[in-house]
Amino acid sequence: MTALEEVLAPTSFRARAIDGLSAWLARRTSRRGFLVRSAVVGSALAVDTAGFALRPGTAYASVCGPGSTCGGGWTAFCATVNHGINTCPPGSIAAGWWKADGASLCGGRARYIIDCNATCSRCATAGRAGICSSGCWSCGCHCGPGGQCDQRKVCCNGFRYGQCNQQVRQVGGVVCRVVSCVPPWTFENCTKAVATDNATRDHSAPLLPGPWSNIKARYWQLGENGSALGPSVNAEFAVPGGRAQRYVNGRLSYKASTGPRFTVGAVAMRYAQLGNEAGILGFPTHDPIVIANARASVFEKGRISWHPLLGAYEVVGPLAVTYSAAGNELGVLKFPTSVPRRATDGEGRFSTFQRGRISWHPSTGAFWMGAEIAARYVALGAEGGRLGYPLRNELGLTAAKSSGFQGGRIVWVTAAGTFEVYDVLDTAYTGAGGETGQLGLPTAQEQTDDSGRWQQFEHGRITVDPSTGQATVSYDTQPSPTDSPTP
Amino acid sequence: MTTAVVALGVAVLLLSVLVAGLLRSHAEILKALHELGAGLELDKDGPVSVTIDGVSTPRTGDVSVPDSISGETLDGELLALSLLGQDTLVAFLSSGCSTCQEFWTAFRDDPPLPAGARLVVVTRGPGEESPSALEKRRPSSVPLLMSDETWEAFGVPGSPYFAYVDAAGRLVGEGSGASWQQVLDLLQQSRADALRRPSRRGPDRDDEVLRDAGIDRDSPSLWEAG
Amino acid sequence: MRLSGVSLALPAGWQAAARRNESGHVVLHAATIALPRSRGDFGSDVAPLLGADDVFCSLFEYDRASIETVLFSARGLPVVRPSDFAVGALQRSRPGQSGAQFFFTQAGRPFCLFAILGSHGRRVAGAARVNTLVRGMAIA
Repeated sequence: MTALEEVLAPTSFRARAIDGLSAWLARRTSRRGFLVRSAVVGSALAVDTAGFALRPGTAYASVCGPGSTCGGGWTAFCATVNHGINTCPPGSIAAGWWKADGASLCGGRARYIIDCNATCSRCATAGRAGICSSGCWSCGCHCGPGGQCDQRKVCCNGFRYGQCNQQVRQVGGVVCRVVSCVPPWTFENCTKAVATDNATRDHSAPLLPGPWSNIKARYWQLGENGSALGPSVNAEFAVPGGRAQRYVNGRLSYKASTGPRFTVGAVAMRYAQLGNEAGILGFPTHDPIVIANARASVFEKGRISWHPLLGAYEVVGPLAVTYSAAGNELGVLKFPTSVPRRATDGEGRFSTFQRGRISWHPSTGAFWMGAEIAARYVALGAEGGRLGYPLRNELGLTAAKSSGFQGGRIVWVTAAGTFEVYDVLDTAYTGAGGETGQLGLPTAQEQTDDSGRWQQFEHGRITVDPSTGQATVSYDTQPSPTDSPTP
Repeated sequence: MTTAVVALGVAVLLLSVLVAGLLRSHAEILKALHELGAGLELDKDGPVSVTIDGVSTPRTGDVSVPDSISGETLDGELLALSLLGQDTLVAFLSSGCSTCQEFWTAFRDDPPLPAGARLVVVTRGPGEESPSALEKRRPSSVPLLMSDETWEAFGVPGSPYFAYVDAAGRLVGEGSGASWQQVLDLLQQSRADALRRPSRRGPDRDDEVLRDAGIDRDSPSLWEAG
Repeated sequence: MRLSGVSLALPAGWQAAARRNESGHVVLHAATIALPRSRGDFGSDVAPLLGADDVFCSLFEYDRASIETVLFSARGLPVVRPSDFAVGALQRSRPGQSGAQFFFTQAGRPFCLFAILGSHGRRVAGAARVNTLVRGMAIA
């Protein structure tokens, strides 16, 4: 009901009073008709005109924005017709572009739209440069696929913006459109001649990334289609604890505590195999680390390292902590060569590396050993063998390396080989100061004869009394200065 | 509450009487002016000018106007409009003249115009006008040109000033007014007078349009299938 | 009107607007209707306003280096024929309308002339109107 109608309809006291006054005046003046009308108008003007305010326009009603029907005359997006991938599909070529200024879909910046035109593959073309006749196009005119809102035209509009691939004399109609928040000449063969059309500012599609977000901002910083990630695939989506976006070559993951971080290439593929953000590694905490021609990515609960000759492998949980303490890919162990595996007892885990191994048990923790000792350890049955799980990281000595285990130790001596020292012998060896003690390094494997078990060292021997099981250390000569162990 | 309502009604009544009085005196003034022969009337020998207190004095005598006008827009574009093909009321305004303010206000939102006519506002060029002041007064749907050249071509003596050019490109009326409604009323009157004159349109005029388009009576395109 | 070496003698009944865009290139629009303030460079906001007898043209300039490419190998302003128009040759297809595009180089500058007709059925007269406009153009 308008203000005027409200005044005319004597439903409110105000209306009735004014109406009555007008009528009284009208009966008492020769110009009563005029005065009645004036009073009504005056009253109408006195009413708050807020009711006359225009009804607000319909809000942006769908994710596709305006002009999304086939009859709207616009062209569909490549993400709609190219399996969610925001790039020119096979059989098409970028032929031109324009920008729409102040696009919220690009965080208020310019939004660039690239036309992907069909090729003139069906016939030899003649005529002037630009667009070939529709009979020569590599596709036929139709509307966007059903079941979604981007119903715009596909391969219908025979128009060429003209900044891209100018070496191609003729192209066909526009197959679809690519969108970008970075200029198209950074990733397509296009010139910088600017064309502007703000009418398309809010055009979108369900399989495009969606509204501006932390992830979109990071993708923009990286260079979008021209970045290592490549074109987007489908829209951004929620994951437990955050959000994610897929790209042809990788993924961007966002969590408030980690920010937007990307994974790319083989690392991204392995991450996907492990369940991405909801998997054992959690969210990435850093952008990819470049190590010469290799890569690594760090996650909340581990790491994935990739080497072109080895592949991509994760190092998880406590093993990742130990790997980090050992210097990661640039440390003594180098790159991982296996995924984490279950030990033979079913309780522990181990990972192998180019130059060593890390073994972990919930009761002992994770410790690493270098290549020489690891090789001997594996030959002796590794975690399931007599030595059991490691109890300390490998120690580096001037002429030897040593790792301690639940059941003894392995000592690798330069130019001499590896030697194990088991149980009571190892206990006695430890008591005598180990590799830096008076006995020095082992010079032979354990022996057993009529006198019992014994093992020879540089400066002495440890023997085990067969009747008592006790070990005794005996020295050949006075002790000599030894090297300090290098951890 | 009742007192307030009654007081409101009395105020309304008084205002209404005042408005009625003003309207009546206004009508009487207009009637008097018409009886005096004032208004934008078509004259076979040329335009007839109207002068109201406080506004510019129009010129007398024949004035030729260009076929098109051009100038700079507030968006930084160069805009050119053909004065042929449609009746055009050219309003010469400035941001600084007090009498112009009513016209700026009237032109802000889709001002009413005689059927078939369009309105164009022309100000002085950027050297003599303030683009920022014009931006505040800018009409939403009326073209605005900044053009010293157009002022000179029309021999505009000052602002506000109006020139009415018919579709044939003839200056059929010019002058000033104190209000837009006044100008509109006089314009409508002059158009009504113009309708009584014989129209120039007809077969000769149609041939003229075709020739302008490069099509003479022997052009094969006239005989091609659509 | 004249802007950056592009001049136009406006035919009767037309309106034209020209500017230099962010690339420093000329964008010239001309139509037989009043040009709206907001216009896409190739007339997307103008096309819906065209009546059956109306015409819109856009003259759009490209980077100078483009004159070396095959796309801009044609020399000189085009002469437009009714057969140049096609209902599908539009940036945004609209029922009954048709368009024609011409890429060319003039005075060492690459351009595209794009014309929209309000009615494809009246392309004979429409092409003639475009030619009238083009005859009034000069590029230096």
